[in-house]
Amino acid sequence: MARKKTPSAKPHPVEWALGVASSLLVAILIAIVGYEAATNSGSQPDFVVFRLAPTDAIPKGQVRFKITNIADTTAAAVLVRGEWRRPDGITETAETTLDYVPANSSGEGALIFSADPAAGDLSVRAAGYADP
Amino acid sequence: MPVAKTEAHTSGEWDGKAFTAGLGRGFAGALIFALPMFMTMEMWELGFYMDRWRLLLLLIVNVPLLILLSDRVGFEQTSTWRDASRDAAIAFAIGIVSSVAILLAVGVLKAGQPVYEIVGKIAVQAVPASIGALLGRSQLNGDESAKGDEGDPVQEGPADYSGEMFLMALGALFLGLNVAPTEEMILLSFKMSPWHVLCVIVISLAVMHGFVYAVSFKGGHEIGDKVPAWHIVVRFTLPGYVIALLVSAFCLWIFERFSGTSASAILPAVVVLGLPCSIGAAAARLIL
Repeated sequence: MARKKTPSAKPHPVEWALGVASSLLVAILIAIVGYEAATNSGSQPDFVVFRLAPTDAIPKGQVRFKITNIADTTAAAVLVRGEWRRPDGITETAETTLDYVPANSSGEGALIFSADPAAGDLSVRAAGYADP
Repeated sequence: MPVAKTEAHTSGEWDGKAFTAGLGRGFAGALIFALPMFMTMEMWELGFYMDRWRLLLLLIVNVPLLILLSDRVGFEQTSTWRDASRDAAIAFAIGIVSSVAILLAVGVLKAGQPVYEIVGKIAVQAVPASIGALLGRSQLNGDESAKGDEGDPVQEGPADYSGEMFLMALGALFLGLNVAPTEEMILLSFKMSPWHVLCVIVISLAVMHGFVYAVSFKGGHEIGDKVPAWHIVVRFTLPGYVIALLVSAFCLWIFERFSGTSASAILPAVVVLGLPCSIGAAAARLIL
């Protein structure tokens, strides 16, 4: 079996075009990652949680939320807890865990209460996380 | 039906032995390639949570890929696109049948599961299995019928530039698909700092270049004496790495690893999966 001598000394211009484009792409990739390496402040996970507006598609009692990690570090096992102070004075708690909320990214989920928490006082917040 | 020899086409004879051998290789190839994925938890889960439009896209994209693969590698030598399409259809069917068989055997598919879930699980697994089926000929090339044209299709296949790039993409898929659905890919990317990412990029490029164009393994490329090294870097190593990254990004996207994630978190994951992809791309001629 004769081995191939694929790379010929006289390549087609298309090869050069693709080669130069690829070099540029790889250079851009390295530049972006390099920039991130240089500017990464190493800030620890910090969350902003807000409730998504209820729609007809969301069952009664469910509260959908969006949690955004505004830091440069990813958080794992993020615990989101909602506390609903019902009109009758009893406080109901619901919680869920998100596997990951990556750096500068957001995740969504839902908390489920026994009734629609429209009445009363509802607070949703991140209650803890683990390092990945 | 797969008929191994072109002479059988011309004489119109049906070669039953070659037909069964072709099918057997198809199934063997499907198992070798897809077994790690059959036994990956995330792949079963994808069966029920994967977005149906994405699944449909995956199934549709698989068809031209299989036809192209059948034309270049295939479980037999094909001369026309019609033959290649027929073999691609058979490979897809082999993928589906072997997925059903293995998933039933290991208890992932059970009676009483909703149709939605069963179909999803089979469809996701059938794609890599069908690719494996078509790679059977090159993977399991123990052909004793040395009638000249039945050598390893990858080792001896035509090596124009576009063919070379296609082979790289195939090699990238070969190694990349096995690990792409696992959670470790994104977990690693979360654990890594940008410096780690830079390290992985450098290692990927170095290994890729070394693997095929410098070390000269069997099946690797012998570089002509007149071709300077930087030519090879620009014309093969860098485009190869870009192909590996594209395959990596495509796999991660198909397996829904990107949802809600910022670009700065996606990039490291693409680079992490890009490492096995680039090794697969560089070693395509060795491992396919």
